[in-house]
Amino acid sequence: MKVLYSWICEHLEGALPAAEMAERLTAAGLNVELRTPQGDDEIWEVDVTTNRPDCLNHRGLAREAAAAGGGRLKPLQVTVSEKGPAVEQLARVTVEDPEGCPRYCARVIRGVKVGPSPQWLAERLAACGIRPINNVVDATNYVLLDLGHPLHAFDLARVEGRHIRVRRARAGEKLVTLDGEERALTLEDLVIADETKAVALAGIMGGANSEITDTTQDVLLESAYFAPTAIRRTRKRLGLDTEASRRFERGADRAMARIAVDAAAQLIVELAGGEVASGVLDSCRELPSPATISFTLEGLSAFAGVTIPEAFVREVLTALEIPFQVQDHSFFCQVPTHRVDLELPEDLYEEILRHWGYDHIPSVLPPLREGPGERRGSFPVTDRARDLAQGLGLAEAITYAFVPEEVELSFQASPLVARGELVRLENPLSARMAVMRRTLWSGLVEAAASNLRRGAERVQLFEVGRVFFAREGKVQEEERLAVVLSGEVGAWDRRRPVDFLDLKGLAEALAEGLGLPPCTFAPLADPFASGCGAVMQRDGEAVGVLGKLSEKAQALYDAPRPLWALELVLDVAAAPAPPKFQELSRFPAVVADLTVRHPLSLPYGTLVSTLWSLAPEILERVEPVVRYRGEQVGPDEVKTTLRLTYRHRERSLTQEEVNAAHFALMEALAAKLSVSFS
Amino acid sequence: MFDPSLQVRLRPSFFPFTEPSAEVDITCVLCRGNGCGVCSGSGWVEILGAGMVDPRVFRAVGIDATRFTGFAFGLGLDRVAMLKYQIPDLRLLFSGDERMLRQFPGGLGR
Repeated sequence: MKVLYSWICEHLEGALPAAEMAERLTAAGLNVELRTPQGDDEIWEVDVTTNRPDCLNHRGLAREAAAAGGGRLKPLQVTVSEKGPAVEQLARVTVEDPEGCPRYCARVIRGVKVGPSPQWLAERLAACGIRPINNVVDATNYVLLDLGHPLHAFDLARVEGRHIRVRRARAGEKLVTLDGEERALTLEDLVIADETKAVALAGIMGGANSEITDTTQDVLLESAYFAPTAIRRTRKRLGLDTEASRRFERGADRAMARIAVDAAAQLIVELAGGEVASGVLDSCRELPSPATISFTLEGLSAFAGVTIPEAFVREVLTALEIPFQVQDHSFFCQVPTHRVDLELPEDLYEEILRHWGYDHIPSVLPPLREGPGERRGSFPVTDRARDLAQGLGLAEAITYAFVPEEVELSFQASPLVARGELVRLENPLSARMAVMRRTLWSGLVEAAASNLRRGAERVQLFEVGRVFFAREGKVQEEERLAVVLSGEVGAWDRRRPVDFLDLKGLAEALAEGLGLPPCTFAPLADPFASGCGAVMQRDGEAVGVLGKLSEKAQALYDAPRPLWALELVLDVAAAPAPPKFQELSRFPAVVADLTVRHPLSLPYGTLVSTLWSLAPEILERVEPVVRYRGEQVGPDEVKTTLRLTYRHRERSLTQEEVNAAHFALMEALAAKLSVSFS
Repeated sequence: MFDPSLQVRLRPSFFPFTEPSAEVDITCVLCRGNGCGVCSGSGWVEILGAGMVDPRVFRAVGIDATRFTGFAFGLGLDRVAMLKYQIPDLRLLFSGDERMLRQFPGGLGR
């Protein structure tokens, strides 16, 4: 809220200089965020928290400044000179909805001359962000800024029957508000009406049909208290946020309604001439009995952790204009009409402590009996995943969990995505953040692509995070690790494009480090390019997917190079089992190569696992050497050369033994898999 | 977390679920308190919110507010990272730009 330092000072005796007052207000909880000099004066931007509508005006801030030691609050003296007939002869008010409008005060000022406001007033309004309009309307806005109560001025001649009726709108009723917009009203909306029609949206904005114009002579001045909920619903529905609505919504001051009408009437006469009719129309003079809050000095000090002297408590409560009685160190306070935020003893503790000064309360660390905590839940796994990935040279990215729907759906063929339904947000901030990701690729692939579009020649990213599924009416989360590679690997004259083996190597290294259950790789088509995709499976369940994204999946990204992606399920990770030491053999090995000719459709994994299942005990190791495709074989065939290492634990092997074992193995393999050798 | 020469101040504030409430500011890391765009000229940057748990919250979850008090605080990790490393734009943290990520060899999550 914008306020003027000089205006606050008008409510104070012995006001402190600006810098000091601003500091004290900030320390008390009314944060003076910005101070802008304006001649001799200063405009302050004060951050008034939503629980303190009483500070949305200069007097309220002055009261706080006084309580904070910034001066002494002058008592409020509002006088009004009345002349002429009783107001009851000039107008009447019927409150048909006392629940929505617990109090309606009105005065009549006759014979005004509407014109521009004097410069001093127009400048003050403008400095506080309110546009000057004419002297009558400006007077109401001036009182709004000064005392905090919203008022409205009607042209009495345009109030039919000179009768104000406060009621709910009728079905289908319409009103053109002061901003020129026609509003369609509902039964929920509270309106100020005359005998035939609505003339204002209560507590929010006046109607064009009754506004003050150059020809206005008699003014009906409204100063009411509207129930917060009544205002809020209408304001929200119409999107009409005004200075008045803001104050009524947060809770206006019921007693101030009566005082403000006098202050505004007097100001109107000073600016625009005319006479204030005698008396005030007031639908409810009695105020409800105030709520009481009681607390003990002991309770306060125990809460604060510091002994607060009784004299200080008295001082603060008095300065804040909270009436109280003391009996045996117990305080009994009556909540004043300007404080909507006080209900519990703790609310009063805050009042006292914030003026005591938070920085004057000694800092003590609470005793921690259990000692430092440990990382539990999924943290040990995700920590290890991060360490492993970084150790493998990947850079960690963090992307949003909310993603565009079309990106999410582009990966829906992945078995890791198909594990549940898509979670849609009910109120997304934008279309780009409309659903929750079921795969980390939804953010990570775009991150990789944007690096490429910027000209990066190698991209090596990973992300550890959660994905979300809708299952059985609930949202369930899973931890994942994803990697995206693109561009080149290697250095100098040995640079080459990233390929499947790079990705698979990462997958295996990560899986091993994470203690994922041993799994088999099987080819997977969608969402990958043909022949470049795989799923990692354990007991028929997918624990990982990897491959080069298909052209279709890549189409969304405008990436100059192919994107290679991997995703692993972390929920099945476990601490790797401690190794069991295998005695080293002292005897030499014999190595034999084996070249197998087989169809392309036979995966390497199957070839090798079958080999092992048929192998003699002396087979120690199998390693790939080379793959050949070309003239020597058919178009759908390949020759895979493996290096077999044979070793006996307890003695040296003879060449004959090895040959016999090797050929026996070849025969068994050929029989099992229909392969040949060359 | 930050340079020990930076000041810290506790300022009363408001949250619906704490009473009393406070906000903690530190001296603006960029201008060291002289005033700049990041701190809107005030010299202070807000870093976390805190307060004593409002008894109404205890009541709502069935905890006896006459026997227990509570303390709560929260801070935004992104914001702290921005302040600590002087990253000007929050969106950089989520962009996946390798030129940025590789400036943090230990990883963003440290």
